[in-house]
Amino acid sequence: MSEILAALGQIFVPINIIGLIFGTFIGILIGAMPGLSVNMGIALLFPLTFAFQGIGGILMLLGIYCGAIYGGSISAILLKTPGTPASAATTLDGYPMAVKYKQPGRALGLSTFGSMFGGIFSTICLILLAPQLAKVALQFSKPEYFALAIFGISIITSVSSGSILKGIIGGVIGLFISTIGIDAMSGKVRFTFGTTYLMGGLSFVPVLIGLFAFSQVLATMEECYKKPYEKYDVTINKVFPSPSDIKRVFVTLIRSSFIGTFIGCVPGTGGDIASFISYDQAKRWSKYKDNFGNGEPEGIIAPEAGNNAVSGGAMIPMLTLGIPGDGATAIMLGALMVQGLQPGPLLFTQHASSVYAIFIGLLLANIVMGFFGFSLIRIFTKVINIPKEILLPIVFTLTFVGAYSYNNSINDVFVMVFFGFLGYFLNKMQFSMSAIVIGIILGAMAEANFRGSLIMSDGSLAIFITRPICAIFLFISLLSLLAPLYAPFIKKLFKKAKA
Amino acid sequence: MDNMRKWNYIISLITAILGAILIFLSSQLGFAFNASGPGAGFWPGVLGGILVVLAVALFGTSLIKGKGLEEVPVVLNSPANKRVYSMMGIIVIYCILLKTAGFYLSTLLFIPSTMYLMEVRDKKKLIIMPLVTVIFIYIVFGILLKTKLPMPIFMN
Amino acid sequence: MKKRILLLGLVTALVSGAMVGCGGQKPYPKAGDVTVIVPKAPGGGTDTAARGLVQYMKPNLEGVNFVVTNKPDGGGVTGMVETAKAKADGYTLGLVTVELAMFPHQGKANVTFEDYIPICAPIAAPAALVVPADAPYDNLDEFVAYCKENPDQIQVGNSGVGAIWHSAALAFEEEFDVSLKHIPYPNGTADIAAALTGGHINATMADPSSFKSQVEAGSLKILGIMADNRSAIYPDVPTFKELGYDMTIRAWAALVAPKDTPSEIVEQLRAAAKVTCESEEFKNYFANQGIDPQAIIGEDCYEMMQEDHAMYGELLKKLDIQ
Repeated sequence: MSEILAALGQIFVPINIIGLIFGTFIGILIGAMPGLSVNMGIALLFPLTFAFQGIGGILMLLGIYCGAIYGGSISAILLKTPGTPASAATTLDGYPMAVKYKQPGRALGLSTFGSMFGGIFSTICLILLAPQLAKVALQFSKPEYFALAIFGISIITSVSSGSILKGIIGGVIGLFISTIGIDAMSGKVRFTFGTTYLMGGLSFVPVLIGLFAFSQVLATMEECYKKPYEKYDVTINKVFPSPSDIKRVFVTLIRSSFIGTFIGCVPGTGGDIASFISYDQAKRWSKYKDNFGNGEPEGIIAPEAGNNAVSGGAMIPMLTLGIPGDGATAIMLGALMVQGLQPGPLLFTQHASSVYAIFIGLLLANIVMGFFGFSLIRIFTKVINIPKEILLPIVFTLTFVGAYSYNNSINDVFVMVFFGFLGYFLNKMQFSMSAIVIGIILGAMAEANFRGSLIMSDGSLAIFITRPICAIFLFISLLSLLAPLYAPFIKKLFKKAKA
Repeated sequence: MDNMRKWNYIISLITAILGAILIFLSSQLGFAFNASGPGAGFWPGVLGGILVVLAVALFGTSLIKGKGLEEVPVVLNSPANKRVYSMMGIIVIYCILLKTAGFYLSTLLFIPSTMYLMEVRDKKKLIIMPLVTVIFIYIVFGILLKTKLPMPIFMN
Repeated sequence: MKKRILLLGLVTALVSGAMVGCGGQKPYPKAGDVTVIVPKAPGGGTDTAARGLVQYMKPNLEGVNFVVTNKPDGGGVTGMVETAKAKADGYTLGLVTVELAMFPHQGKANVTFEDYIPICAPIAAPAALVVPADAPYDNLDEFVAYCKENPDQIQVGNSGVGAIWHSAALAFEEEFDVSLKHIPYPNGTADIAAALTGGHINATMADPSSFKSQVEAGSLKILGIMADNRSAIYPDVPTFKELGYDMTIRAWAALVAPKDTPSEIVEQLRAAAKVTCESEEFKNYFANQGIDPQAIIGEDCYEMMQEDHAMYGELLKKLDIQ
């Protein structure tokens, strides 16, 4: 008890609270801007943490972390441009609800609520279950990662709203794209055609910006051709989701938060995977699955709760084992160590009050994030009413700036433009951009762990079946992938049973 | 006469070719299994193979069940599209300018050109918008974040 | 129409002028920002080392303003090449990593240590032999004996085939005449730490800072370190040299300037770096993160880069890594 009080004492120092609020706000801005990555923001502000005494700097970093994951949804919903990879799935239902159904406030409200809930849920899991969840995470070796990646890839069938076959083609192309570069398993260079740039592979964020944002701006340009300006009434009475909305999404909310916490807990996986898996699971189990892709509230809550739940989850291996759950927690690990706090099994016993301070800090960060989110919704929704001829050039320019700033590379800009043009045509042909992106995200994980598993098993494929966690995931993935084939039969069976 | 069925055929063809090229390039990397597991070409080769299979499936389903697809139009030639193509042209020029004239100058030209393409004729807007945007980017990215956006080649 | 062109021209001139005008004739380093190109992504080991170094160098070099720029594409080669080709006026510096000594032999890069003038190397992480605490061997000799009795069985994690920790393991095999199984973990040492702690692999030869928490908590132990001197953070761990085996494999990162940078500027930077590397705050910053701070300045740094370049040339040829 005294440690909790000590923790509260550490946190409620004016400069620390200001740091937390400032960090969260900056995080939301970083998240909203495509091309500015969380890791970059945290790395940039890392030196500032030296100026803080004790835990203050960490609180600021926590604020940035939570804020950035949420911020991406703002541009995802309003502009169909995910600000961070973790918000790519939010574009699927967020954008239609905002633009097609003219309900940006409702979409943003749901997203803010989901993010806040997911973040707080995962923090509670962190507080109550950290050691247990960490143990489960340690069970993951290469076969399990492979199975998880395959499971993620099987989601392609779920997000391909047009033609499933074309969705899979897109996914395979995405898998191919992830093979470009130095192959870490053999040291060989693949598909670089002699260029130095491609040795590092195609940078993911420029491709994402190209496929989603850039192609969308081109498409909007086409849609608004010779259309008169319409001002939509976006006055919002309340920003918080309505009770009927909450009732509708409640189960999805809990499920997605679990998924996000768990995925965050497994080192090396992050918000992007969590958001897609949450979306997929929400669609599979929902009564309204046909409404997905068309502005379904569950389709917004699922990815947003999922990706913010990663924040608490990723802290679990970081705090209990000293092993970071993702890139941002790796930097925070360094920040903690610089302050003299050594994460790992000893942290809980030697510095209990600091640990409680981190827990409470995370809770506060999520609440502050929610507060900012809800209060700024009214301002954000006005974006819908900006005349396209002003909005589009600005968005174009921001995509260029974003693609460049990611790696300070002009080649990334050209890559973005290429994929932007490609995405424009692919969209017309009913290809799904999400499928391609899932392929890129999961390709490296799937291949590296497949080959690594075979090295460990001396070439025996049995390793994938004899390990329980791996086998289960693979089996579920198989069911998912083949679902379009046998689902009609099962429906018929049920109908017969009823009759 | 542009409909989805016809384009499906074209797409399957392109996909099959891509798959074949992939298999070919992968074979140069080596499929063999050795002490470090499958060769570097194994996985991409499998992907290439899957692409070919999918291409055939796409072709097949469009052939057999594709009657309905003929109703789905693929719009590539309308005036709206032509505007998008002009936009693409502007973007390509912008990319070239980025390397030669640097970011700020190119953007000052890019934004008004885009707005002009979208039928903005109000001179005030055409001048103020690019200025405001560029100054904003300079402050946020140039000064706050210290990102060095490309500079004109005559300044290096 | 004319007025519009005139206005546009005026604005363009103003903007360009503002950008050029900030140079001036001030002495180094006051005439502008000193860009430090880090060829790795933000938040990684090289990046935090670079940011820490410039942070603590600032007070020792009057008027300097370092701007760290991350350029991780091309696997790190693009950034290193850009540093080599930059204008040699002291306003562009960069970090180079040990990969600079390896890539040229693998055909992955055209630049070598000869394209740079080194300032200092703040980190040079040695390969440490890390195993689970409950493993049936307590020191290097027992480990080697176990490997000889069980050829191709001991799974050793590394960060990628052909990368530094793999080379360390291969050099180990060569030196002790044993045969190990190499398991690559492309995402870095954090994954190796997870795999070791979870019992999925038997050992690794990698940078010890990633395993500090586990070693202190008692779930992992370090049997030896491939360095010249014992680590200040793990003073009980013997070096391979002490045990009779001359092996030194380090993953260093060095702050360098392009090779034609004027010597006065280089001297200024080296002097500032020397003061920095010997200061308490600098040492604490790294020690707290489990990294042994180094103070390899100037010519010593050049020698290290040269030695490693030659060593990897031989090693990689022998092992025929692509």
